[in-house]
Amino acid sequence: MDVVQQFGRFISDNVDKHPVAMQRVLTAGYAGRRWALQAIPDKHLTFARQDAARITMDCVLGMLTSPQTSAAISLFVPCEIMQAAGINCFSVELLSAFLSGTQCEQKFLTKAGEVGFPETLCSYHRTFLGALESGIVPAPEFGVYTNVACDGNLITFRQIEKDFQIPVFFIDVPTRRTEEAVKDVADQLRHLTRFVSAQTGHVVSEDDIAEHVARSKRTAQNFLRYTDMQRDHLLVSDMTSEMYSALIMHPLLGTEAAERYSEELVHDISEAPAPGDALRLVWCHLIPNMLAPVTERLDYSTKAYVAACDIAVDALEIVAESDENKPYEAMARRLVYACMNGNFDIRIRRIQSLVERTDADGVVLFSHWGCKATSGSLTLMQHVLDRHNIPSVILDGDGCDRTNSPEGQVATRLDAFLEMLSARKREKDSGQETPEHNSSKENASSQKASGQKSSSQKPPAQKAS
Amino acid sequence: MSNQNLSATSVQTETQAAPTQTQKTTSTYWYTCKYAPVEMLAGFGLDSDVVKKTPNLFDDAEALVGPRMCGFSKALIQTVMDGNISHLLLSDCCNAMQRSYDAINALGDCDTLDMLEVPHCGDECTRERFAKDLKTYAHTLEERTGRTLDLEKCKQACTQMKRPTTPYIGLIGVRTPVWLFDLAREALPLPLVDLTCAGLRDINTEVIDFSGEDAFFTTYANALLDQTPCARMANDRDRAHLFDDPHLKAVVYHTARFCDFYDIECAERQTIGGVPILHIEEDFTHQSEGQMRTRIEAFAEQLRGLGIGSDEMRGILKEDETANSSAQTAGQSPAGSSANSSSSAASSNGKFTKNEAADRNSDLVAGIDSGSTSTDVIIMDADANIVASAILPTQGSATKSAEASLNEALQAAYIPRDRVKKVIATGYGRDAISSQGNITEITCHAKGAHYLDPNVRLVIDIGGQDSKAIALDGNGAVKEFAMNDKCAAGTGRFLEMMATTLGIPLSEMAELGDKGAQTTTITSTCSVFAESEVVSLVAQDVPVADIVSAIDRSVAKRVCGLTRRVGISDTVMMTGGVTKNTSVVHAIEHTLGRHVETDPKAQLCGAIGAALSALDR
Repeated sequence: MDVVQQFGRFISDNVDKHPVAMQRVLTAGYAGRRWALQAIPDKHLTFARQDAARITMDCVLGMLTSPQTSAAISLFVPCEIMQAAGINCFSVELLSAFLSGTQCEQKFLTKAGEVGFPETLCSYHRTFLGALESGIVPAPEFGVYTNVACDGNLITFRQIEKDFQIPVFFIDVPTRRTEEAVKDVADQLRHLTRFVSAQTGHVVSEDDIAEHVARSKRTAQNFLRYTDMQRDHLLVSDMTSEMYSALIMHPLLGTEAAERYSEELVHDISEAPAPGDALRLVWCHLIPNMLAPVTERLDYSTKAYVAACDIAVDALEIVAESDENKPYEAMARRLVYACMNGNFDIRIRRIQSLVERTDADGVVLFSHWGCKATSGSLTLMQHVLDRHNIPSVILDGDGCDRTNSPEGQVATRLDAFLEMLSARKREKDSGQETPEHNSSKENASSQKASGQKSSSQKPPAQKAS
Repeated sequence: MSNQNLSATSVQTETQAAPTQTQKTTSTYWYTCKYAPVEMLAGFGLDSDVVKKTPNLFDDAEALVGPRMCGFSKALIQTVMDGNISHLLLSDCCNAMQRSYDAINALGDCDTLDMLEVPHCGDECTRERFAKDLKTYAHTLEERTGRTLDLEKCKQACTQMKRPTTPYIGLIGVRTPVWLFDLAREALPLPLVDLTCAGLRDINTEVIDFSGEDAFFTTYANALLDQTPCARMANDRDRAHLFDDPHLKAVVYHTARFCDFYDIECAERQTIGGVPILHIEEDFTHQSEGQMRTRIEAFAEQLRGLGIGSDEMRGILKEDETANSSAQTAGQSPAGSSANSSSSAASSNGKFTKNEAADRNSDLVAGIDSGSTSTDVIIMDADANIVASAILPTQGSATKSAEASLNEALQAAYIPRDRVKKVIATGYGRDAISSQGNITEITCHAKGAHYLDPNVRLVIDIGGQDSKAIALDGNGAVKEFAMNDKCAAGTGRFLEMMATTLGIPLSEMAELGDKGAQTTTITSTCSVFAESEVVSLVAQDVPVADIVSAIDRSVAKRVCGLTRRVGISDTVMMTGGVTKNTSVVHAIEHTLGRHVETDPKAQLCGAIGAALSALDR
């Protein structure tokens, strides 16, 4: 049993009787880890990746040590308003990913089940709720959430308001993508500013917010530059670092740390070697950084690597072109055009765009347990990718609950997919590409989908609004 | 039009008389949610109805959206794929409906497919937005139909809802398939009122202004949003009204697997107390019908025990169906029809000699527990002494297995058939067995456990097909119960599957489990995943004992999840065939953190309860 496992078990075994003491133990453990990340960082990774681990750890430590200046948010909430008020924002996914990394998520998943949260609810949300219920983490000062991406947000934040009297602010984002919707959300964000001022006693000016939005814009431009450079450089990574990227590009977007990280990424990748024969993958959805069959194949690999993740890049193209002089509209547009807002068409277009940007060899469509928004659209997305001759594979698993993934099946699917991509690449290089070999079809659902009518070929439906 | 009246009797009548989908014309606009603007559709002269009738199998739809979506969304997509819906109006109310829209849009099988964006909150700006969206939709309908909105027709279509004025049972939570509503309505002792997300449409029509279009859209949007909120609304506090009605005497709370909105409200309401609540969960397939029947009938028994549904409460005369049923089946005991059948299986008793049995002249009763794996029989005398028992594998049919088991018990104790004056059946096959009555195994296991140890307050029953946690009071009556969902994880069947995968007999599994190291874990969420994981562990050369230990802990975790739903007591008894697997019992003890009693007659617990019920009658 390794140190982390022992630490996680100790917390799990004692949190029921001594929640406050275990909160201190967890904080001390994370503080120790933070020291280690600075003193003896992962030598396999470049400075930017090492810094990402420190930035996210600082965020988690901030919520543990200073809950009165912390806010829980759902992943897609723009945080510049809170940042301008000096609030440390952490997402449900960030905290739960750390608890999963500490190998104590089972305790909190069980706790959530005891309270009544269904096991089909996203495990990130259940871990977060179970952690709050058990007292291992302190209640944040307030919460901000949206309906974008996940029904779990609605359930989770409503519940923390009821159970812990945490004030929450809800941003109701229309699923249609129009300028009228942007205006609507911008108005709600103006209300959010008043809410944040009331909660913190800090008068937040539009200029302060604009400053953070401008930083978000520069960060987005850097991150896109880094993404574009993936086709010519292999910056060795691991799945945890990829997950950090996705998290930094959301709750931390607008902070100095996120901007610094994006600059470091551009610097590091510009010095990275050419990818050679390595397979480039675009990853769709959250990164399962605890799923062994995935990490064993992709961590520090020079044979296959994640060149981009759709959750990380999300709407950064829009952020990169935003007008910081209209900060509310800039943030609102990011929400309205988020990759997971509404129908799946915008998401699949983003994935296609990432394939082009990175010259990716294939797409991994990860079906995280409990995420209906994603799992319900993967077969449809695979169908579209098929038509564009982009190979893809669907992996079923759980990004947070380490006991809830069919690891053998994931390993087989991923191995077969990588073998297929290698063969395809060899054929392509030798000028013998066979278009039929363009997709992993071990999943019966994808075969079924191929028989359906094409949405782009036959769009009969009309949206009412 | 589907302007439901909330009076209990009319709801039932309407449901019975509701036309099937195929009987409707192809011009009908089908909608899925109570926020749909059906009065406005009427203003365009369009017929509309809520989607009720859905297919029992939806393999094609599942292939399109994957297995991890709620059953209703898959059933809806399948209905469209089957060509039964021409015009569909969806509400953008949850991720499942968004994905349903994507799938149906990709299929292109509907003549028209509309999606109305329903806000998640009712503040001023979202109300304004909703009013605009309704207006936009009205323009869409104008262009599509060539008709204009007739506000007078809208007004005529408005029906003010009435609250029930007599005692009723509320069906709350997620919409149910028609078969489930019908099943519950028939089994429960009071009228059942549909208060689910698709059933409760309580629009206050008096606030709608029909004087002009602008005023109409504004006030109509308000009226729609001011309904009792469904659980996807950001502010759901007004849902408390559902439970505050003095005429509400009990609740059947329905949740659907992979629809997460309602579970927590159900759990909270069960914790708060108040009216009795039965929580049921299914996935819109008929496969869970047997289990649903057991749960609902057990709940009905529980309610009758509490005096809910008595003639006085109903205010109407009701025939004593039980007595009637007993009278109709008198003289058709299993023994009578099983005279020529035989059994070669071994009896589990052998305690009684011919002389002992012959000395008894009193009348006897029998309880038969017809399970998916075994059929168990208990014969009792008038003083509730067990005089004979038998356990035989369930083979062929429930009826034949019951006959064989009863004969086995009678022959083992040298008891002539005619001394058995009353037979009560329980278990999955109870409806098929000819007897003087049947009672659910929930009630029977509670009675049986109380008989074996009056101090028991929690029964954990792991049977072949399902597992249950039953909380009972000091008299052996059911206080609360929970059952596993359709998934086999946490059942005897799951252990059989795992034994087959490991290539070892079940008896060996029982021995190995305690010897294994607790270093490996297996999912407790899905039996299919679990099987795949076991295969992986075998491929990794993980010791079989370690794998069995992981399987046992997985079962324990699953089952103990049920116990938490009903409340864990100090005195816990485990019943059912899995009690023979000592390593599973130990795993449950470890997970619960307390001793779990087992009894040599634990497998006969259901049959004992049935025999006791026969004595009660």
